[in-house]
Amino acid sequence: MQEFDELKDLWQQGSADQPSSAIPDVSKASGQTKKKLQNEQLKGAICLVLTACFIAGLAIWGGFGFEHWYTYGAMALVCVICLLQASSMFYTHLKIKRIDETANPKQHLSQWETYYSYRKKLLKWNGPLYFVLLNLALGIYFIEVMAMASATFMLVFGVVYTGWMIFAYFFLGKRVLEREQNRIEQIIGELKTIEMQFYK
Amino acid sequence: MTQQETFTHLYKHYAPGIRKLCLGYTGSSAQADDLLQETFMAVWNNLHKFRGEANYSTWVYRIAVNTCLLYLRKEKTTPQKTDLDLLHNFAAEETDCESEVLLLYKCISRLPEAERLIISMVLEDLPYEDIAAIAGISENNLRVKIHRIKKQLTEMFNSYARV
Repeated sequence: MQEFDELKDLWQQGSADQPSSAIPDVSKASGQTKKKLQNEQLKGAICLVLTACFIAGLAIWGGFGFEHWYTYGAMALVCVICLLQASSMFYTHLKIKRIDETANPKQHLSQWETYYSYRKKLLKWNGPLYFVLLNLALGIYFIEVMAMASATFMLVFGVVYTGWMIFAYFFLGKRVLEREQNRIEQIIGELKTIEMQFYK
Repeated sequence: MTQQETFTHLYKHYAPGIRKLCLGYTGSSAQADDLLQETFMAVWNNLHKFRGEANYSTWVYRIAVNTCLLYLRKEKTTPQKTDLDLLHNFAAEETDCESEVLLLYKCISRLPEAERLIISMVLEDLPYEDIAAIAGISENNLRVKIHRIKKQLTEMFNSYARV
């Protein structure tokens, strides 16, 4: 029968006290999980800004010579969508950056909880809105681009394109969304449970 | 001292204790090493924010506690919560001191998350005042918790050690 003090002695004489790894390579400090999450959002935002610039460049200097203003309007709409999505990702990046790892556990856990609640809300409206606006823009763009094509080509293209979009949104997208929502809800639940453990 | 020198000093001084904390939390050597690295990456990333309101020990341990609490969720892994049969077998097969230490880590890893961290700091002999500051709870509340966890851990350890 051991008493707690004996367990303490046991703990203190444990040979597992020497870290098996060397001093962490701080040049790879971006590998930290929080930093990784932050950088993912930042890189995504930068890519979207570059995409918007590329499309804008094509519209201005590409020499397409479209006849209708709305075709350029569609390209502008794609740029706007990319920029809006980029701002959302940049905002998420800032939200993660503001989480204070040096705060006490309750505050720290509640900051992550707030972040995940925000992600949950974002997932709800961001995906559908992005899908609808992007397809609207592409639909408008194709009006002029497809005007010269044969009726058969237009029909085949229309069916394949619409079919793929419907499949991607209602089947693939919904499944991914549901999985992500469940994962976030599970994380929020676990965070709440741990928070309670400190104060019960 | 430069940031690199301060960091090296903190690592040399606190890494062994933090690793034990992580080992108690996960019950796994590999995960403890991952957590240790993750903790000190966070220390490096936050070192410029250290204003000296708390001592380095409290500050580093608080980062370690926060890292532990989040690690398992973000990595989508679950703590290697040893199941009862495994603990029984473990206790029956091994009898030397080193295996008793391992059994202790395994027993700690069966406690709820917050309790694992608190008891690891108690075993590491951190002053109650510091543990309360790290956990962000009052000292009175902490004492009540520690009393309960000590009892629970001792009973659990004895029940497996007797097998």
